[in-house]
Amino acid sequence: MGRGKTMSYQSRLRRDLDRWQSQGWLSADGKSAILEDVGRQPGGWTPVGALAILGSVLIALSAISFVGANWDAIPKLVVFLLLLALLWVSLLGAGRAFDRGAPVLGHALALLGAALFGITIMLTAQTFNLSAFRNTAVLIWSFAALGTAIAVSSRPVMILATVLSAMWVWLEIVSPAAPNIMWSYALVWALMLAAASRLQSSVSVNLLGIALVPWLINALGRSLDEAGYLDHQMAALTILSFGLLASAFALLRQRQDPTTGVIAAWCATTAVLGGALIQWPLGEYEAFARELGRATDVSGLPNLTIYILLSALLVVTITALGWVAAAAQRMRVAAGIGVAAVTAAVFPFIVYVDDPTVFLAVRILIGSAYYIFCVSLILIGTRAHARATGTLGITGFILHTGYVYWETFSGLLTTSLFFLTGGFVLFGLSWALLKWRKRLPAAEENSA
Amino acid sequence: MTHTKRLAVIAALMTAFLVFMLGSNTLHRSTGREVVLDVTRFYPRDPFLGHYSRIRLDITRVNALELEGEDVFEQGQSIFVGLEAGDDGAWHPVSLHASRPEDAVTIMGMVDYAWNDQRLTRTGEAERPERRSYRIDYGLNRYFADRATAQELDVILRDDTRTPRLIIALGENGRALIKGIEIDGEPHYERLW
Repeated sequence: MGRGKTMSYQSRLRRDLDRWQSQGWLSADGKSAILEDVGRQPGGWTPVGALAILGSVLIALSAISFVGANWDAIPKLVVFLLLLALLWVSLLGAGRAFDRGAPVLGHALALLGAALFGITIMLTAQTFNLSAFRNTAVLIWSFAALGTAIAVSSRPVMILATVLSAMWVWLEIVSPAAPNIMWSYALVWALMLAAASRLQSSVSVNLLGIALVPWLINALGRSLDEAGYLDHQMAALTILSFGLLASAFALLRQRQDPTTGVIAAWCATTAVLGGALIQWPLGEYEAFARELGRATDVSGLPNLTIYILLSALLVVTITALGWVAAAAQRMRVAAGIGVAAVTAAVFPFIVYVDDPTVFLAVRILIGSAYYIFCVSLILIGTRAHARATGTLGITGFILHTGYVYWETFSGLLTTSLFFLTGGFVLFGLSWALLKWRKRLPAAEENSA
Repeated sequence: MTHTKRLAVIAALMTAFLVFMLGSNTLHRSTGREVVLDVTRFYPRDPFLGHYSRIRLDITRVNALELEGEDVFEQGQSIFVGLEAGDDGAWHPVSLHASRPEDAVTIMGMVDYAWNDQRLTRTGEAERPERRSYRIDYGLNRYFADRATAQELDVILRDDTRTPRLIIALGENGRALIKGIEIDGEPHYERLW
């Protein structure tokens, strides 16, 4: 897989290396070493590989439909043996293909073999009407696919294993026969991530990032709900948890494994979006407060001591991880992240504000802290290897600006004033960024 | 180890699991105690995984106060329902147990829903006898069939004069496996070959 894309990249790289060598920046040995290293890296997909994989997917779908048709002209045992034979042919064929240097065919056949295993389980479950066994069967199928993926370093099969593991956890969550909070997925997820990282499967790692978000929101939400926490507290703790994971995986990316940066990105995206979204109902609360003369009808926060300890621990850990991960701009990053984390942690205390005017002031403070957080992310994103963080900061900035615009929109004059103020603020930020960027090389030279 | 050998090991492991699954269920179905249960209704469906009929058994809902054994169970708890053959040939629930009794024919299930629906009048008198009811999941919710059979079952079930029943095989541990269906006293057994 990926030979075409690699060759295309290698061709471009070779041209660049030739130019750099002719300019005297690169030795002949250095050029050879770089090309050799690039040649060893796994590439992306190619039309040949994609067609072979799609062929396998279609054959697997054909087998699923055949089993689903429950055709009684052929005895079930014959169908079972037929599928088993196909499984062996696929897997042994895949092995032969890998051994003979035809990895494209090998990946496609390995994927088919892994799929056929699950389809044969389905057939057996259908034969014996084993409706209760379905979810466990998906988990077993997922582990079998994982074993196959590791055995032949197959990223397509790794993707299948990842999808199946996510399917398993959601089947269990919605099943009345299983607990709604599936903490056990954390182990399965970690195992899948370790394998996906080893195989450098960016699709699998992204899928794991996507799967992590709704699973963790569900698990945390239900656990905190059972413990009696209010919605505000649940939202704050969930956002802080994603912030913690984002910081931890960002640090892991620098220290050990670059693929974990993808997980950090998904967690950070959730934290940024969550930070924006939790402010949206505050307008209704404020209107409610102005009607009744008090902010909310909630007099206090449940589990207050535990909440304070837990949120404080999360805030300190997130800030510390941000400081460690930031390297050159520790103070700026830690301050920006720290302000956002503290704001999220104190957010639920808004229920204690009983004066509508103070409530508005608190809303503005929360919004300002969110802006500071977004600007911090944009500042981090100015570094070459952290563009995604910058994009995330800009996304949060735009989202929150849209929200502020919506909330302040009451007349053309107000809107005009808003845009004028916003425009000056953005110009100011741009100017500050420009100044900061000019100072950066000098600062780096001094520190060096 | 070559890729072929590695995948041969994996294929062997997969085969072992599949053969175990097939063999253990075949053994269970052929050696388990045969019990016939009344069926309330089949609902033929056409989902992605094939045609099947969703089954609701008469013994799915039980009132503990009308049966012997224990009365209080929690949602999600395992439950053993004691069965006895009636004069009509079908087996009916006679007792409820939290653990499997030694000398009784029992089917194992899980309490899917529990409720106590005693209703009192304004004067505090019971409007009707107290019911400590449980909805039990036996894992016998689906009966897979080809399209023609599913449609045929639907026609049979629309006819009140017909009597559909489910034939199950009960294992030593009380786990039930569908063995076939009985229409108007005529059994139709599932065949592997």
